[in-house]
Amino acid sequence: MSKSKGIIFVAFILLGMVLAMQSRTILLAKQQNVVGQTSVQSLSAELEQEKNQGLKLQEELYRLEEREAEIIRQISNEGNPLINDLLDERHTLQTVNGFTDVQGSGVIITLDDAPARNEMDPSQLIIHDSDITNILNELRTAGAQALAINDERIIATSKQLCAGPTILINKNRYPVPYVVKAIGDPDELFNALEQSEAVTIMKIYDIQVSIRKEYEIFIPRYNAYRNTENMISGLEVVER
Amino acid sequence: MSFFKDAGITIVCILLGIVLSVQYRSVKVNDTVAVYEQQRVNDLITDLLREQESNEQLQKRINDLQKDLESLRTGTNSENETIQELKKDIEELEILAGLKTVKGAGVIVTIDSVGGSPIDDSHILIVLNELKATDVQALAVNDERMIATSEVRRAGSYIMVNGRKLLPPYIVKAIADPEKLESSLTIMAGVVDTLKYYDLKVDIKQEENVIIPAVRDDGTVLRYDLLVPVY
Repeated sequence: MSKSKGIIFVAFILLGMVLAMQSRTILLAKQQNVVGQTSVQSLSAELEQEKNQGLKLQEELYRLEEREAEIIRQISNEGNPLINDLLDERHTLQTVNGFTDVQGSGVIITLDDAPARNEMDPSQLIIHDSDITNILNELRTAGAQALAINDERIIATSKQLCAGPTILINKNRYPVPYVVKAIGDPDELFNALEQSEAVTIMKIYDIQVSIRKEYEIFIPRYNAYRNTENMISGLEVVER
Repeated sequence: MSFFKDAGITIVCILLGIVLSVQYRSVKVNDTVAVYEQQRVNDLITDLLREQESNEQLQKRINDLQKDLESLRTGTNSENETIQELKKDIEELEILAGLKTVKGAGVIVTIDSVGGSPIDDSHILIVLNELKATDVQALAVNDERMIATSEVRRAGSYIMVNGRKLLPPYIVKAIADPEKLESSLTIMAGVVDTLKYYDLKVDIKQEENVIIPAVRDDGTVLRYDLLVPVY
């Protein structure tokens, strides 16, 4: 009689303790959630604002650049062929550096993660930065003259980093699907990719790869940092 | 009477068990949520900083251009000055395009195989990609300047870069902050560790004067004949 009373007593003490703990964790979790969400929300809003500001500045810059070219052309029309030559040379170099919008024939590759399957390690179903690097490398070998991923122009120093489910190109983050555009000889680019190890392996893992030839591909100019001076600040020219 | 008592104890014990397991589960879920939230916040902060930096640079460029335009409009710029400015633009663009031999502080990374195991193009590519992620300003493999369209392709025992055969050891030169470049490669489980796993020897040297030659300018590397400018 008194033994079973003792057991009930102990059981209720335990129950009480557990209940108190449970309600504490729930309260704490709610609080945490609120804090986390507000900082995510306010940061997202701030980022959005900064991006919009960036777009506005970009437009302003284009407008000024066009205006400048116009004025210089006017001046040179008044009779200086040297200025015209320099303007042409500058424009060619801007094209070489990926600072102009360009158009041409080539291929468009669309990549998407494989559909989720339970039996496989999820890291094998997603696209890695090495997949992207390999594809760019194949395209370069096949003579691509302009490259872009999700309309981010790839230049000599462009970085591609995989950060979880998104990719970081130049300075912007993109989720899947990734759209790789390349201008060059469409047949050569297409065949090189179809036969490449990179694409074959991705297909084995069910990564969704579609490659198609296109005859009017538009690739926008490099947008990340338009300040040439900053991009070469650590370089000193060696005369030969 | 004793039946009810036993039943009571049983029910209480069952309840206790359920509550305990619920408690355990909710603590675990909370932890995962917290980790996820933290990651998201970190991503947002880096994105935001990057965007702010970019906007600052854009604003600076806009201010410069506005000044240029002002002097062009008011005609304070003589034709000669316009020519000088265009020439300066052209030189900067040539440096950026890899048309000039350049020097600066950076690192020299030597990659060689230890037991004669072949060096794959992917081994070189991961090194290059890591260096690019560290804001590199000029890059070369065995003195072949890397430009936007440079390939790195293995063909048997050698690799091709810019359509030219290169033999090991492969020497990657990069110009940017040497400290940052070195630590980006030697970070734990990073590129150097990966290459060691493949039996490759990686040697990194920081240098004050890394010289990186210009790209071969015979029309085979820098090609843009298929690009139609869009105005």
